[in-house]
Amino acid sequence: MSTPPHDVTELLHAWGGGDLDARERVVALVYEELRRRAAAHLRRERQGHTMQPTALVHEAYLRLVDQRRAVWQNRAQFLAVASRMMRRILIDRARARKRVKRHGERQQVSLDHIDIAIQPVAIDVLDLDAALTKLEAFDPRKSQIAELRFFGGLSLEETGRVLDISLATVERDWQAARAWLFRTLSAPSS
Amino acid sequence: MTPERWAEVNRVWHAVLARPGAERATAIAELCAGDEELRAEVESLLASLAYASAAGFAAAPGLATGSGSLVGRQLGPYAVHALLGVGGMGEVYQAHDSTLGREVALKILPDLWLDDTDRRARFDREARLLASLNHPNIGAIYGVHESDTSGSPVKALVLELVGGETLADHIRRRAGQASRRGLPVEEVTPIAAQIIDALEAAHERGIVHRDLKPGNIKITADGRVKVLDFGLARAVSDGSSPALAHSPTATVATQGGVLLGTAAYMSPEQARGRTVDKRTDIWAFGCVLYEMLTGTSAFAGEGVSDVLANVIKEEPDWPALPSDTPPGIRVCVERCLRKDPRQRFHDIADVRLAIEGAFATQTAVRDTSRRRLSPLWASAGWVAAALVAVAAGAGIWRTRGTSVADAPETRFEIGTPPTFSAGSVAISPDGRSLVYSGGYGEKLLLRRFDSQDAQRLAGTEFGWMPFWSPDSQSIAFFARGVLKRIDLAGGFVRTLANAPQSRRGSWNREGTIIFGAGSVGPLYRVPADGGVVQQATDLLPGQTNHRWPHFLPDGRRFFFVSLGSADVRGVYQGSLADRSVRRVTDRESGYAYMPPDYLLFARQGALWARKLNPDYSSTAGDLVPVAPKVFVDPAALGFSAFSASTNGSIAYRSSAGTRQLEWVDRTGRTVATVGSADDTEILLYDLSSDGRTAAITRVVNGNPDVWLVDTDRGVTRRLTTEAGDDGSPVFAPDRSRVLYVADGRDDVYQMRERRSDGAGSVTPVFDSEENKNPQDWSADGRYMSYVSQSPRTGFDVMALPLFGDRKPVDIGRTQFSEGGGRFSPDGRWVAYFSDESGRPEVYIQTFPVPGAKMQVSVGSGLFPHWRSDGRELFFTSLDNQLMAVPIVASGNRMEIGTPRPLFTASGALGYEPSPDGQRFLIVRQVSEASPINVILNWKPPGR
Repeated sequence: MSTPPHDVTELLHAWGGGDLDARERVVALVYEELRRRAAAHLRRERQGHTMQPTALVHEAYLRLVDQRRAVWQNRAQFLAVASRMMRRILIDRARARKRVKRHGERQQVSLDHIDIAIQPVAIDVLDLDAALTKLEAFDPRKSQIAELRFFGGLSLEETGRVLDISLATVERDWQAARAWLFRTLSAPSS
Repeated sequence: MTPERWAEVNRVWHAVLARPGAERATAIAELCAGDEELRAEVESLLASLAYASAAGFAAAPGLATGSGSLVGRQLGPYAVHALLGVGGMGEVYQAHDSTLGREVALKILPDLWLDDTDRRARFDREARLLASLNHPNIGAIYGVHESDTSGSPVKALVLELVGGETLADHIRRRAGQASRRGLPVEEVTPIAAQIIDALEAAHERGIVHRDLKPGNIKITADGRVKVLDFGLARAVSDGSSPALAHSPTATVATQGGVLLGTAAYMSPEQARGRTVDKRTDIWAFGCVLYEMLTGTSAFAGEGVSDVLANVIKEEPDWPALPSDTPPGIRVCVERCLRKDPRQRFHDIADVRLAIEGAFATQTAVRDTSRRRLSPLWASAGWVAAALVAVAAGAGIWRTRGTSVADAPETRFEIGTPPTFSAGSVAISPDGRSLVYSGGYGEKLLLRRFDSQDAQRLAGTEFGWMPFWSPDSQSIAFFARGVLKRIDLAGGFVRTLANAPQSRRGSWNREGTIIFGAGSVGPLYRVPADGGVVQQATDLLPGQTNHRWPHFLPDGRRFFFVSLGSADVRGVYQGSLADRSVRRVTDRESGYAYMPPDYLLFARQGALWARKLNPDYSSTAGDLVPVAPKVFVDPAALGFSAFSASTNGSIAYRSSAGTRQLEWVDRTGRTVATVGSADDTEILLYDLSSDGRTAAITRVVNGNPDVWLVDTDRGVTRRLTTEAGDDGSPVFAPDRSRVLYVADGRDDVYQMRERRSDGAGSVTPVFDSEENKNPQDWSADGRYMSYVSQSPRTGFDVMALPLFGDRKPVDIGRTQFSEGGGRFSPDGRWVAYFSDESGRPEVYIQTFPVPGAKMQVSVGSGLFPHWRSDGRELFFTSLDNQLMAVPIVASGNRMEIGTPRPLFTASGALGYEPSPDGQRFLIVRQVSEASPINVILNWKPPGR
């Protein structure tokens, strides 16, 4: 069932006040909301129309959180959770498809970019997940920055706020993470 | 890799990146100090970063999954060859249009829309309108593409592909280079001017951007500014929400920032979810201007709610404006960013003026009318402008009360747009400004003599016969049957009283307004702040009407003109105190009072002044010539086109121009003139079903009457003879009779009927207190359509059954303005126009039982007319094009074709198609009203 938006806002406030129970409930609600919406999008998916996970995250935020009462910390909390949930949903979906298709075509993910006349870089969502997991093992912060960026669609400024680090730090970390991920993902599939 | 090793890699990596490119190789060698593995890792990462950048890998946040991109596909004529980005609406691709041989951008619409018929229809309508925008500073929308290959429908907007960087990027890049945070003023101006050009062009067509921000303003390599995504916010919204989340110009990639980014440029009314108009764009323009100047956004905050709260409550950081910002620009930003839209600049043209004015002071640009000013006045003007600028900056608007008694007499002209009311000219009491009527239905125009151009006063649509408050801060005017006032400081418009007809008014220092409200009846008074309307004069026996009041300096006594029999007409002096009257002159002349002691009046086509006695009871002394030629209505008792300030300045028009009936063909070429051109203010109302007789109105001897014209021979004869205004004639289907409306006493508008040959008597048809204008008489003679004006629902289209109980039925009756109301020849449909969409559009619905209505026009439409076989409908657009649309009706089904323009009917004031639709009878303004002449500090000869 859908939850009245103000409940999530309440929960975010409670979580902000240290209520870890509230956090669990937010996670459950956000996951449910995202999963439902993703499924709806997928049913409608047609040639040439792509699902936009980051759009889903933000739609979910708008839907679940009462903007008039939310404070910035609520948004940071929410996006951090939602980015993680989105990643899970995409992984689940890719795995399911893979099972169906067995060793057939893998789920392709195109990374957004805005440079003119360059083909989008297609990467495998499972490869991305694996790479992020690998990165997390020796540099959790860079991994999380990448997660927020890919799955939450956060700008560097927002990422800084969510993680409570300076923009300069985010920029440096992201540059390294980006280079590392590109190299890892471009390498011949293992 | 271990965290420790990775940390070391990162340390070196950051140190290397901090160096300029040329020094990096050396830096790596130094920092790695023989650790080849470390060196290889850092170099590999550096190379990867370069590749990642080149490939656009994760260049923007987010990712998209899907069953495939459109790259490589052919969509109709479009060969898609690159993905440009992912927008709030969907992906944007670059494609080659093989038909026209150009590169375009395709914005793919989210497929969920494909199931939503209403939303699609709405989008198509908007897109067609937007596609009509053609301006060098606006990114063009070429159209909508739809294709459905192999069961996967695609719908896309086809857009002009605009290269270059966004203004947002430009500001960021420049801020990084220069010592200051914002752009230098000399760079800001040309960019601002081009954005204004774009907004002006769009606003003229009734299109509001709604989502203007640096992110959708592009600067091309050759320095041209292109504003993108005009009106898309409206086109893609679902019509319900203010669309915080629907910024179509946002890339999802930056959607986290989009909410913020979009919110930061939202006007307070947008933020509150209220309806928006062009003033929202003016707000956004203010934000953009501020950001260009300071390098930071005017309204920032942590999170959307913070930003919105700031937009609604907080002022921008004004001290952040660089100290070298010209005062005019400061004023401009400040006036754009007023929270209350009524206090904001109303019109982007005013923003242009403010900015150009600011620069004119630096570059000494003058327009032609300014050049005619004496140097003394010109310099005084600049001082005033500077003072105004300072006052406005402080949020106060106050003019100086300087005496100009010793200033020399100066004469100059002010050009005006074509107008229906050449006599609506009023100089302010302080002699510093002029207000006059724009074209029909247009706003009043305010021209301050120290400014370079006129300002359209928002909220004064259809305004005419304006007059000033004594402090020159407010203007009262008549519009659509009511008396209103507008306060120049805030632009606030209030309705004060009903005034079915407009016979001007006057405003005294105690805040009382007296006004004439009809072509019969006395004068009325009402408090200028609103309140009870009372009668101000009493008609003497033999008098029919009092009009043109003007207060005398004591604010108790006033002049006015009385109409009636010879012994009781002329200019009178009245008194609020005891309602006594005395006759000042027996000439029923248009006049103006010029303080302290002159009466201005027209005689034999010239403007004269004559001294008044100390008690204002009579004139004495010589006639003093003021101007050789002045326009008054052809009737001596008509509306005088001159007015005077309290300090000796005069404004007048010398001519109202002439009009002519003409036949034109479908290309707009004149094929025959009908009668000769004259200055009787001809208006065309109807053409008989055989096309041989036209029903028009002319104002002769001050009296508007219905006249009939033979459209072959041009012979004209008067049909109505009532003392009051007669108008809006329509023919019976067999041409034997004419229905018209007469303005009677006691606010009763009576529809009357009489035989076209003039024989017989007048028959009342229908009475009501509402002002009403007959439009059409159905072919079977059973119904008459009319436009009525109700206090509750404004202008409505109604039908009056001419049988049974004659109870009117609604055709279009909403809070929006409806007009027209023409029955199809078979009587099963009615065509009318309504501005419910924000613009007047022509609709057709079934009659007499209203079914669903179908929109005919695209972009705007007014005054529909059917061809006599019902297979074509004509209408006009807001930009004066005569449009034709094919119609196929069978039974209850109707197919409406695509409207095509036939010709631009410039100067045409109404049209009637011939029965075969091959010719149109039009009224053409042959010569326009003359410019307004201004005499500052008039000096009587010999003084």
